[in-house]
Amino acid sequence: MVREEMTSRERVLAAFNGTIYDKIPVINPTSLATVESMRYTKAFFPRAHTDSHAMAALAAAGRDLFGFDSVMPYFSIHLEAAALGCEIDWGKLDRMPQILKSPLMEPDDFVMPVDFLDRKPIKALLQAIKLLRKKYGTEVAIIGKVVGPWTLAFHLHGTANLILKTNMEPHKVHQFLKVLMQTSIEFAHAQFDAGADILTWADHATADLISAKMYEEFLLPVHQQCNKALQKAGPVIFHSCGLVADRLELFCQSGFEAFHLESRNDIKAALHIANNRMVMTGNINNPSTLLNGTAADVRNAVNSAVESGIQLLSPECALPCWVPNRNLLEIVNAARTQPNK
Amino acid sequence: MEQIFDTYFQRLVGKVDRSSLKSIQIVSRDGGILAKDTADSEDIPIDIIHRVIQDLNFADLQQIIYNNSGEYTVVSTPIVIDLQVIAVILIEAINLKHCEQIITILRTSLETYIEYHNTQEEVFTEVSREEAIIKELLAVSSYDLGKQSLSHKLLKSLKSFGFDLFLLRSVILVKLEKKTNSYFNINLDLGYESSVEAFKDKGVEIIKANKYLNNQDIVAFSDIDHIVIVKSFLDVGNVGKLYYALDNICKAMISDLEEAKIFTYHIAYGGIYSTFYDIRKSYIEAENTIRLGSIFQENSGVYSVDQGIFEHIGYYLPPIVRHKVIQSVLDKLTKADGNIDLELLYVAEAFVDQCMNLMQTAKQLHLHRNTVYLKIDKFKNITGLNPEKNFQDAFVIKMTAISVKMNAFSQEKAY
Repeated sequence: MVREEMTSRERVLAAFNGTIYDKIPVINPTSLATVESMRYTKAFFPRAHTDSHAMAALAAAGRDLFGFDSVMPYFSIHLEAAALGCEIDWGKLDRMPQILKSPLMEPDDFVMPVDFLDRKPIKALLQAIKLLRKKYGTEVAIIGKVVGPWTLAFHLHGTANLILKTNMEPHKVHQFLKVLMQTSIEFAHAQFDAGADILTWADHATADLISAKMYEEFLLPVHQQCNKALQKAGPVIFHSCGLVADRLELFCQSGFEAFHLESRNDIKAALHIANNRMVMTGNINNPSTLLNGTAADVRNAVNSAVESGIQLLSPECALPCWVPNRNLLEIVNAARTQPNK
Repeated sequence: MEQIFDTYFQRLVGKVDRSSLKSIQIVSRDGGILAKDTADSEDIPIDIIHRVIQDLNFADLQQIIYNNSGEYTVVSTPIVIDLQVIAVILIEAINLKHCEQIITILRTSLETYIEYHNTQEEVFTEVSREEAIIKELLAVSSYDLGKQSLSHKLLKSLKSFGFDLFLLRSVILVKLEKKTNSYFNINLDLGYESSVEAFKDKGVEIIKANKYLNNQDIVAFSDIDHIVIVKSFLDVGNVGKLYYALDNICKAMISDLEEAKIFTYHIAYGGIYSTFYDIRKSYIEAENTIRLGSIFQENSGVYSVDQGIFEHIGYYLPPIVRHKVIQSVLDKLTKADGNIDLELLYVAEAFVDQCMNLMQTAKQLHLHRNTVYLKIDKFKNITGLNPEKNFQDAFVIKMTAISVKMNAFSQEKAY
């Protein structure tokens, strides 16, 4: 029987476990950082990408200002790349970081640094997770995040170069993924150990870059291996931008517990394909609804997502920094008025 | 529909002589105002609108209804599309007779415009999205009128469908050639045609499922026997590598298409360009590569520039070189009967192909070494070209031979 009032963490984990929850949980597998929240918490980009206290403070805004059921302190997708030698422009207040130089020419050149977990950006995230765990205890679900080997290879070798290699030197792509997946697995374990309840696995197998067949050939076996390694650590949400209908069946075979999907996807069709093999989250549009929409638009989006059968509400991807906080608050308000599940 | 009433209706009422009326309104069947002649004109009272709608006679949809409540004299008529009333036009009249004429003109114009608009919409949905895009990208007018002529509508569509306008793109062209059997010198259909149509669609599906294609690529028929693939690439800073990737993609496509054996496939690609404006250019290059491949290559399948570099250079030779240099050689080789001495030309070409090695040339042509020597000597004397001493002469011989073969092929096709 469901308790009358569950904690946020219980609510979120119940959704993952497929058990009854009191209210539909609202989470953020990706960044919830806004300029308004930065001003409120005095934790500004770019410092909040690599400073553990700023990371924790800005992540806490999601809970303290809007009442989200989760907090997530990894706002970009560049910490591993920075720790592994990519030259990074850390962006500014309202702009996310970007890679300036990719150092890895060949997969054989990669050597996993023995001090990887002690390198500054990595250590900062682990410390931020610990700070959040200390602040919230077991009240709130803490979501960690790793960049998967595919996206990490984009960063370290260059996106265009890697995509071309799938055509010209596919064996090297397999090698890249093989050597880099250890990084993702090690970092994932470290985040769970630091106190993360759940993990987002960002690996951009987007239809705009590769076909479903390419995912099946290169990435699916790697994802299956990674999930096997993380089986006992905790639930993992797979995040990939773009349209995924043609590869969702393959994602379901990867072993991830959940999928974070973009609003361009038909949620009903996605749930039908997933057929309870993965929990679906996301689907609330960022640019039209959260950035430019009204409170009524947000309410409609939440109602529509819930009616479609989504189990975990969340924005579709990392938020544009100028999203007004009132719209984030409205997601939670609208969620709380939904009938109990 | 609102857009039609907003824009087209406003343009229409701008042309109406307003001296005989106070206001014009279009309302929906439930009485809601869809459009007004001017924003500040007074609304016709809702009870009059409802009375007019109630008075509609569905047996006579061309009717004009009058309502005179004393304070308001209203002339109205329904707008009917496919025998359905979709809206009602109301005019608050001063001169009843003039308003009858005006409302008839308005109704006819709006109905015609809406019907045309609907037909266009149907055309767009019937033809697949990709096919519509490809047809517009390849339209001659878009290209000939210059770079700014890609329609705003098309660019907007490309953006709204999520296409990145700044990727590099090349056209891969697949020509489908039906394998036919001729029995007793007549072509028997034997139920072939219906299968052919089904396999064409299957061909597109097979290509769309190619592992190298992604959501940024467009695949559709450009005409009844050509499939166009607009293939996108991220910029790796070395466009040459991308052409090798295109070779792999074409080979994979031919291999995939083995499934649909009803056709012979000829496949080639054009140049890689950075804008959608150049898609037609890339298409023409792909088309030319197939044309040249079918003249000069023995096996059908994937044709590429590097399998026939001289043939491509010959095809794209500047007219001044063709007319001044090549024609002059041909004139010298023309015999008294008006025919070109092709035998001499082809021996000279083989001599060039074999790096001016007499033995190898003789072997290739199945001639005696001395015969080759004599023919080459004769060629030198007639044309003044000596490939052994001058690379430019060797090049001219090769271009002349290619030019003759291409002309022969064109004439053969013409017949």
